Amino acid sequence: MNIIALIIGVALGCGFALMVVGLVLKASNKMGDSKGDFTNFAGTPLRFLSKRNL
Amino acid sequence: MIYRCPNCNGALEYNPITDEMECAHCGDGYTMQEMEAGNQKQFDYASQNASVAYWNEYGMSAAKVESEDHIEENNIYAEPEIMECKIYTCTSCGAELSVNDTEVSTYCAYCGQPTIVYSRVSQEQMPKYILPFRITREQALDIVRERFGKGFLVPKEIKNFDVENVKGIYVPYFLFDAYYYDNQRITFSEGVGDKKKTRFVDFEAECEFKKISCDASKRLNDKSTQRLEPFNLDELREFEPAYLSGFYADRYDLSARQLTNAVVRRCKDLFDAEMKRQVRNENAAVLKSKPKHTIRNSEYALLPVWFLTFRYKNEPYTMLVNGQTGKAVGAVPCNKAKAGILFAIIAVVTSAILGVGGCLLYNAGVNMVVFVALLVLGLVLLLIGISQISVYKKNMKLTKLNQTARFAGERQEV
Repeated sequence: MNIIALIIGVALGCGFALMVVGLVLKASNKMGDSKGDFTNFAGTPLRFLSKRNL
Repeated sequence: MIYRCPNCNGALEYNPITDEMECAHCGDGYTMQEMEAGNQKQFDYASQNASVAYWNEYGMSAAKVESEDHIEENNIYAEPEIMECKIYTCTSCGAELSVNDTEVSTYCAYCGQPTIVYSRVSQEQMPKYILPFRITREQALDIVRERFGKGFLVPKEIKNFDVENVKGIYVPYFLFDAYYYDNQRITFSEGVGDKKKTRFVDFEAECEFKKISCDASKRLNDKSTQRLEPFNLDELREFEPAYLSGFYADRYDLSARQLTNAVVRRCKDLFDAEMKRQVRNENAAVLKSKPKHTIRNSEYALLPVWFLTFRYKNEPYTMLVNGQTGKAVGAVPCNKAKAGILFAIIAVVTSAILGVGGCLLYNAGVNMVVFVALLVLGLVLLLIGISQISVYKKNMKLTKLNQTARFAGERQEV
């Protein structure tokens, strides 16, 4: 059963390492993913004409 | 057409910093108002003396004419009738240059003078608006270099990269005003644990969209150009050909009618995103939708973009920089060996610590449930890492697109 604890430890370690590498890659590519959103193009706010909870 | 300095006859180019036409030789500057008010002979080296040859759609050489394009459009939805490649004679040095069928502004490859193909921005094909460059070439380079300098995994050769070419290009866009209405049924979950509830809501909503920008060039990928947004369109100006001097420019080859479907899809995406924001639930799902839309108006505009191309391991990479706001778009290359070493070191150290810790916990008689939870946590962290890497790969694919490199590269070089 010690082996299972070791395997879980290794899996957790590798998962953590991959997450760190992924986040470092994301940090160096921070800009340029976003597009214009509603506020950039809305001439008027979203106006609800009716709303009903079912 | 070349704009000439009345002082020394040098070519005038638009300067984004001073917002004036400046002479590279004597340094004199002229505002747009002065350009408009000035004598035509003073500023224009008109194209009357240029000889232009063109081929009609049957590939037959036609008679040399001095007049302009024969493309006529009855309205904004008309298609160009003739596809042509023009041979243009530079009015400065007399060299013959080939200009593709969408280029509006370029440089003479022989004498380096900025040249505007005036016929392509006149009459029916004149853009309504232009957004002048605010970011200079050097500023665009600094923005990209600063970004490269910060990345831990960026290869050393890239940090001092040699840019193959930097081109300021006015990209053709259509700006759409549209009305959008939808009658939707949405569902989302509220609360956590025992208090979690699934809600269903029917609603009708409407809004008006102003100046939704769609790039009107077949040769550019929409995903790349959308990431340049937002442009501050309050700074749009009435079009003047003089703004093009010193930059490249293309005219549209996708008409407003051809872009209608893309605009409607964009309206829907913006509407749905705002609806989710209003109900405060990103995971809200639309079960039913009865949309209606009306395109109120479309206007042709030229928006500024810097294209910076460099090579790494024989592959072209093109970074785009919004020529007004300085927003940079494009993924930074990664040193795979460095990434692998980083992964190995972190994996070995944390696995050793957690492995030993796991054995101690087991010997202490901790419940198996704890170990299962830890395994699930490991899998979640793995999935987070994989998703970040796949987002990076998707961005890198856009940065390495040959289509974008060709759009920027296939032009006359100074």
